Amino acid sequence: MAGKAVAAGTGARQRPSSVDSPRWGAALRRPGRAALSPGARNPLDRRRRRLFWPFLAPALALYVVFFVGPALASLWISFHRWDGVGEMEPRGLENYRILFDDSSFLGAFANTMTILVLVGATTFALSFALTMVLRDMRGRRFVRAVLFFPHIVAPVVLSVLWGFLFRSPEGLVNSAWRAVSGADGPNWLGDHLFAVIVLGLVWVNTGFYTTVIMAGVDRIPPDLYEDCALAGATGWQRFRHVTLPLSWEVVATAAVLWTISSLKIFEFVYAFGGTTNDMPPLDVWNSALFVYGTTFGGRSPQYQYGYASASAVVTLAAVTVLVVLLRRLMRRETVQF
Amino acid sequence: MVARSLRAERGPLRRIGTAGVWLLVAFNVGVLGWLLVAALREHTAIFRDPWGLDSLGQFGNFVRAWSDSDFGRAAGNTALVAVGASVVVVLISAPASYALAKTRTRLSGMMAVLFAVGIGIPTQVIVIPLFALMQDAGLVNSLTGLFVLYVALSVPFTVFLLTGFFGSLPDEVEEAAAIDGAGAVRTFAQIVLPLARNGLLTAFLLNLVGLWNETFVALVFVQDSAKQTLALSLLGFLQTQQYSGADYGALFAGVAILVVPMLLLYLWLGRRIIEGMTVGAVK
Amino acid sequence: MVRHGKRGSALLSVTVASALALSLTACAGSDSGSGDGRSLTYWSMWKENEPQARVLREAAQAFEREHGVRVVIQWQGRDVLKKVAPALRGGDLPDLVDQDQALVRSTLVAADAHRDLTGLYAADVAGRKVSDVVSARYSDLVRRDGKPYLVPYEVIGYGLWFDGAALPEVAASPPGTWSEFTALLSARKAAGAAPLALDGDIGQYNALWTVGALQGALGKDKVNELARDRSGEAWRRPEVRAVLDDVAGLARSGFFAAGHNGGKWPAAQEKWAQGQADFLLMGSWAPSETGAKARAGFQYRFAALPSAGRQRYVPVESIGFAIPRRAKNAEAAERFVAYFLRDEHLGRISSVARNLTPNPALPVPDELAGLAEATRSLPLARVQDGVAEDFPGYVEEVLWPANDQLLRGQTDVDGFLGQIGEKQVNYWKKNR
Repeated sequence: MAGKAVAAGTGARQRPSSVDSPRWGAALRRPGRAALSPGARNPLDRRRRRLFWPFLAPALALYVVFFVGPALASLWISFHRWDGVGEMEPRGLENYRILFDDSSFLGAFANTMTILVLVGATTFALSFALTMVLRDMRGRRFVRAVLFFPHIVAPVVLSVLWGFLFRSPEGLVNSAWRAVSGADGPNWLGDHLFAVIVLGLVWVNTGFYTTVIMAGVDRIPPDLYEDCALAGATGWQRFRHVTLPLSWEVVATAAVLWTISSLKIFEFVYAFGGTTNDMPPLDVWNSALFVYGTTFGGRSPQYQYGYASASAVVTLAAVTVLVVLLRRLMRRETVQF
Repeated sequence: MVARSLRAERGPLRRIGTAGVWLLVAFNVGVLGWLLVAALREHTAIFRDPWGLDSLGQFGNFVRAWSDSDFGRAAGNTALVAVGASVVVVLISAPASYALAKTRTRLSGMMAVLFAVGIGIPTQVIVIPLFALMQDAGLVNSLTGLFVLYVALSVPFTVFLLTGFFGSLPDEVEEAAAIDGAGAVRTFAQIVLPLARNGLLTAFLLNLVGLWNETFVALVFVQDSAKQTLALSLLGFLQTQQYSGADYGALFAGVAILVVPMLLLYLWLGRRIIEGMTVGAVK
Repeated sequence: MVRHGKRGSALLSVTVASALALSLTACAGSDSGSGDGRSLTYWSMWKENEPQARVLREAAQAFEREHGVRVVIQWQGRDVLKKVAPALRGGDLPDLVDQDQALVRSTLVAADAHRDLTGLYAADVAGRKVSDVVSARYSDLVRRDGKPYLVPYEVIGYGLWFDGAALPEVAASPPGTWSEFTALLSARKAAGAAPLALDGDIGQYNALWTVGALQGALGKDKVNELARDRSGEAWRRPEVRAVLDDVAGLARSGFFAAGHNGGKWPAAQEKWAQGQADFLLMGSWAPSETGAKARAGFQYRFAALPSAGRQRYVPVESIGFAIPRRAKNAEAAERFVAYFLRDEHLGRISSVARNLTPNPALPVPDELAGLAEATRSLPLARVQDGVAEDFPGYVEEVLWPANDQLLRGQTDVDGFLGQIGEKQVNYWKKNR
């Protein structure tokens, strides 16, 4: 999909090529207006330029003080061995060298990537499917509201529920399994814990991203679809040539949001530890849990701030590269409508 | 016309999809229902039969959860800090997002990315420098300090969300206002902000949900039990399961006490929020 | 809100200036002794409505009446040391904290931020010394370089718990050796009972079996030596392998009640308290965690874990007081600790909070009588042989992942050895 994206020419207004075929071109030719090119010289733009710094300053100041400063400090700390109390002991790149040889970290990093890609792809595919089904379904507002609901419940509750659903042998899922197939179901929490966590994350996030994508799709004027219907388009064609290109920006932005925020997924995984004081098993750790386990977490915390910072730096760097790639891959000309 | 487009889609695929949607809805409603039912059941009954209804009506669970976790005192703190911070962060982020969304220069693009990266920084990594910072400012163990932290830590996500939202607003109205001679600040305050109402509400609610459930920052930065937040009280209560024994009825009651206000707020504001979720584009 | 806003902007101007400097290198903190001694701050691991909190609060009130020193208590809950850790470098610290010895050791002692309590052990407790009240069998386990860092006030002992009403013949003569034990388990299983309850999603509960069996067979501190081996090869010694095979045999023989693999805590211990399984290997919180919900007539009985070798041990762990090195009112805190150890207060840890105290002369709750007897007649060892407190992160990253699979029957002894060897090499590589 992304491979077909049109390379962006700066400033020039273009329609995405996919909607440029004569057939859909007519449907799209509606009163619209050109996207502002950078450096446009109208008075509105000039005024906005003047407001740029005054408007940005308060948020930027908070951001610099509470994120950039501490993050730079953490970068500095990552070149040291430090327990948070005593003197920092410089180690150069030693932490990083150890990190790339540490099976605990590599496993956690792999899990982070699995969550990012697998949960992300599934969530977005499902969200689009739901959006298409919901588009002209009765009770869509209600449905949408209900789908969003897991997002507002504390993750610790969801995983307690998840435990009752998936525990074996007597969990609800396996009881149903037995009733249907007569055989014992898989040992979800014992043998497939990470799969269960992935499933739970898809469930929680699908509601959120469905809402986001629906909001984007809803902005597409309905008369476009009517034009399509007149032209005899099938549902898939309408999705491919109208819905997708016109909601592309929303999807691209949501994808960036998911990519970055998936790094910080913590509570839902953490709550699969036995008690509130226990880390979950090592093989389901993601990078956020690795950071916690290397600093405050567990029954005998390690407080290795230098090493934990290095792991966060590596993860964040990897994801920043991914975000840049993602933005490049998904870049298309803005279609204003 | 609409009827025709609908007819065109009545395929088997669509019927499966619709059934799937209702199944998912039933599941989510079931989750909420189960939580509220379990909050009114007796501990051993929950374990004997998690999906049953016996022993329903244990209102004592709520009394126990409320008093044991000291929710009364925490409720006021949370209302002040979480609600206050959610409002203030939106007020601070809105102009910044507007500037980033509507000034399409290389610099604004870089700034937008810079803010976005902040969403991915784990709090555990910056907590020690943050603690040193707050310590020097004399803001450790104070609700003011927690409030400031909550505002600051919510900035990246809020800016990200609102930048997208402002980007999706049409320019025509502002152009008209400019032609009428309205000043830029006035245009922003009186024309753009009201237009962006749903986006601002969305940002407010999503932040509130996040801060309402936040525990780690509160745990590290607040030591006085009189200054605890609800989420922290609930955590402390959950942890007494170790050594003092589990009571899942009361546990769910405590959780319900935390969830229900958010649920009501969501029911009240939900429609607008959903309409405000247009993340639009970050340039 | 207005007030917040104003102070917020004042903060901003202060902090913008110091943001990049970050003052991380400043203030390593001065030593103790600058308080006025008229009050002290105590951050407690208990929550206000727990029985331990009641005992401590009432003792603090009595202390204030008798000595005029106010004890300001914050009921922080179990995460108390997560609040202490960030403040160790320059923040406001309490004068007194409490938690279990593993957490105190990895947080305060590892950072060298604790107060040496040697002086306190010589302090007066109603005519005796602290070292007379707190049995050396416990205080010897909370030392670094020979100096104590903790004064225990509650002792947790680990072993098998069962319902004496349901198993009177076991209560009369508990199994002593591993073969007696497995014979009993086989008989119980043949009779249709589920012999062992285990919440297998908690790594420590699984490890209690393996490390407990190894302690019995090899002697105490031997697992600690195995963990210290940089190559991880020490685990492959034949005598270790034999014990591991015994432990794996528990799973092979199907002794664990269904749900030990794939359930979620506290499901298994709930079932056990309802009489659906015979034995639970756990710390002495077992009665207090399950007591309120146990089947009517349940009689808590204790038996030390049978030994696969010659000696049975009682693994123990203390919960106690520690004082940060920078505490401003350290002397006052010490006086309160010594005061709390008087029989009329410490005794209530037993009578009110239903737990074992470090003073063997005090009466014990009925449900812990067997444990108290065992702590007198059997040698003590550290729980998990001290690997958790000596090597932070070791249990989470090395022992538990390998051991969980062994106890679940997902792997055999060779699989366990391969995994623990690899993970142990990895652990020592980064913790040199």
